[in-house]
Amino acid sequence: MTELRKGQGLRQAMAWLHTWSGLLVCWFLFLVFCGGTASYYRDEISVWMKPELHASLNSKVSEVDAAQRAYTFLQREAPNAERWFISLPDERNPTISLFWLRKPTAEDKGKNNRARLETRTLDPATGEPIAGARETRGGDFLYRLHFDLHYMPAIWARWIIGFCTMFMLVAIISGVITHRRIFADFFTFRARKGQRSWLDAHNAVAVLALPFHLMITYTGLVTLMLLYMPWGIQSVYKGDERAFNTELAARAPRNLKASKDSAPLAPIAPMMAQANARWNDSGIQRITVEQPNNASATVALTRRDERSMRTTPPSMVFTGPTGELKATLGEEMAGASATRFTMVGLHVAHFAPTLLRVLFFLSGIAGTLMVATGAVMWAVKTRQHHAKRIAATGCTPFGLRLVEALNLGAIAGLPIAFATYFWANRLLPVDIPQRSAAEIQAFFAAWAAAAVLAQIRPTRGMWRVQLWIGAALFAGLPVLNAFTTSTHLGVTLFHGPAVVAGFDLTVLALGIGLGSAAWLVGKRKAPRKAAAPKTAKATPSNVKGIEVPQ
Amino acid sequence: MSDVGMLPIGPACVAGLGFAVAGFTWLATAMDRHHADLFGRGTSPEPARARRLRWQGAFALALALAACVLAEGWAFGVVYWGGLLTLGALAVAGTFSWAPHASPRVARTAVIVGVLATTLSPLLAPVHG
Amino acid sequence: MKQGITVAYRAGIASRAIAAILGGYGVAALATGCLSLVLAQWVGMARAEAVVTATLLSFLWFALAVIWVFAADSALRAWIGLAIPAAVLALGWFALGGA
Repeated sequence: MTELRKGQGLRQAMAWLHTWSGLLVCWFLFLVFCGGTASYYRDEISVWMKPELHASLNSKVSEVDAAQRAYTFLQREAPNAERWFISLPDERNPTISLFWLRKPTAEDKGKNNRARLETRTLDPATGEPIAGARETRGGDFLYRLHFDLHYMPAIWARWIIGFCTMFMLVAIISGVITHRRIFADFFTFRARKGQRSWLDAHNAVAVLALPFHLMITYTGLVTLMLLYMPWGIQSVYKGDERAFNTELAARAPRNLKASKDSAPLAPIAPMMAQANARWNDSGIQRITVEQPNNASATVALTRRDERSMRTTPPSMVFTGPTGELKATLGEEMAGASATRFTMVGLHVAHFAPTLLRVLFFLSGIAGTLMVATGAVMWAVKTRQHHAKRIAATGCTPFGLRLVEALNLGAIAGLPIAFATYFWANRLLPVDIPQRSAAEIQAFFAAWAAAAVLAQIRPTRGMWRVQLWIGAALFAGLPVLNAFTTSTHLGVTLFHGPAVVAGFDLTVLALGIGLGSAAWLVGKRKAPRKAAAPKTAKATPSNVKGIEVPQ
Repeated sequence: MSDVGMLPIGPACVAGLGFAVAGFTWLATAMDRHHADLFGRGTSPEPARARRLRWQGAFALALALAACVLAEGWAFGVVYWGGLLTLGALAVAGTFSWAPHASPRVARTAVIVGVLATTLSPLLAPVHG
Repeated sequence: MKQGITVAYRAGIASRAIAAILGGYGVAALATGCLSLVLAQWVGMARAEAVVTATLLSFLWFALAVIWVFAADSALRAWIGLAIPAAVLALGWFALGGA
């Protein structure tokens, strides 16, 4: 490995920095890219994971009817909650999603707000939860995974991911500086040349999707920028976040204090009519009610803004008991706020219609390949570098073995975990308690098994085994679907729902991709034209790693 | 944005991809490395030819941008363009790696597809509202 | 790993790592706080917008600081190169923030 030496020039220094800023966190980044790329289709994944919904998907319900049914349900189930959050159906998510924050009881002391959050999914045609619908977190688990991780407080996860994302940003910038010659070498891919091929592949997926990678990394940081860099609020507002949010006036304020008096909520239909009149019937996507059925209640309607890249669309705030308009927010956004929310919008790509969403998804896949090829390239290069010593002593350096095992566990193991999550969704009985948690445990159990096996035998053989398992699990999903539901490819390709067919076809393609990778790994017995000395008896890839202190 | 929706998005993407593939092929052929792939080791394009190829390539990429912007306006159009450039560049990298001698034909076909998709687009799909 | 990796070399790398991570964050934080004040008070931006603008740029400063740390000829130069801007920005923050 080249060292960081004085006087070696900027490009060499940046090459060193690129390697280490990339390598040290690459397994986290791989997880983030896998989860994030899946998130572009989180609604569609959720639909596939709720087969009981598939029958009701094709009915179209008006927004007002859906909202009124949501209100009826919430008035029955949670009339005294602190906050209601209603997501109205749209093309990608045909159900009504409800969240509410119930009032704290004695048991909730010391727990954060998440413990009081309840959620339901309603059929917009009936206003009731779908009969027999299995409990699952669906695509939302994969979405949350990529910034909240799991099994830890969300705040720790966000700091860890933020740390890794800064490493990635540095890796991108140092990568660009290092490869200033890229325009002479840009389009070359040389197959079957060992570490050179890995470098070419890494260059291809990294450079050719560079605008995406740079955008997704920086906008990811921007999404949580006030967590990571609250120093502007500190200096200008002396830390008064509430004052800052009020002046920003982008969204309806939260956490109103409840007054002692209760007052029934005014009907929602006139408020929606008023909003639609102002917004030229562009539609309403969300209704947020603070302190429902209380004298201080407010109702915020958020506009559906399909032509805008920004998150945080305009909203109208009404007083709860009377239905009077209190404020319109977010309609004219100043430059900096508009820039910020456009950047967040580019990251989450809510705005993306079908074709554009495919392009984002493919770019995300390029990101996962970028991380994977970089990590593998380092391992291949380092193994080659130490080939003489390994052949002579039979020992692999500790760092190399660790990286090889981590690479295997992440790159081959994560696909197994993802596929297991989907298999668990179909195979777990519908009415077991804590069902969604069980699906998530299946995800992590599978990943743990793969990672442990990888640590024990980080060999080429193990790569083949795990990649084939991943391929079989992914490609087997449409088959499993056929055995466990009635909306399998035979049906969905002709009658829809199109979303379910799309999922089945995509996982099939991913399975074929993993299978091809497994096959290629099996084909190449030993790297051709490797600089291995002629006297080496053991082929490097079969040497079992033994811990060697550095 | 009076030019939003002048092209339907499907044909615009096909056209954009065609122009991107052609543009990158021509830009690549102007490089010594890929000229050598086509014409033998050690050769390099004459400066005049290299200049012409670069202009052609840049123009094709600009046409791709135009197709996307005419379909979806500036903001969305630029984002589509980025994605199509990525796909096109990957395709060209693949062509030069595995079938370099096919690249002139690929470029010609791609640009014809691009022009056809653009001119036939009113017939192919309803205009995006 | 290789011969020629001395304790001094490792110490230099560790020093730069600390400079990059902690020092870089510090410079970015100071820059954000100071720039917010500058934009709000000298440029006349609305306070919330000034904060958003400065915060949007913060990660750029952080990344550039890290690049500097590893491009510098020595760990000592890396630290000095961070310390001087940090001092200026801190001074600016103090001067403007007192208002």
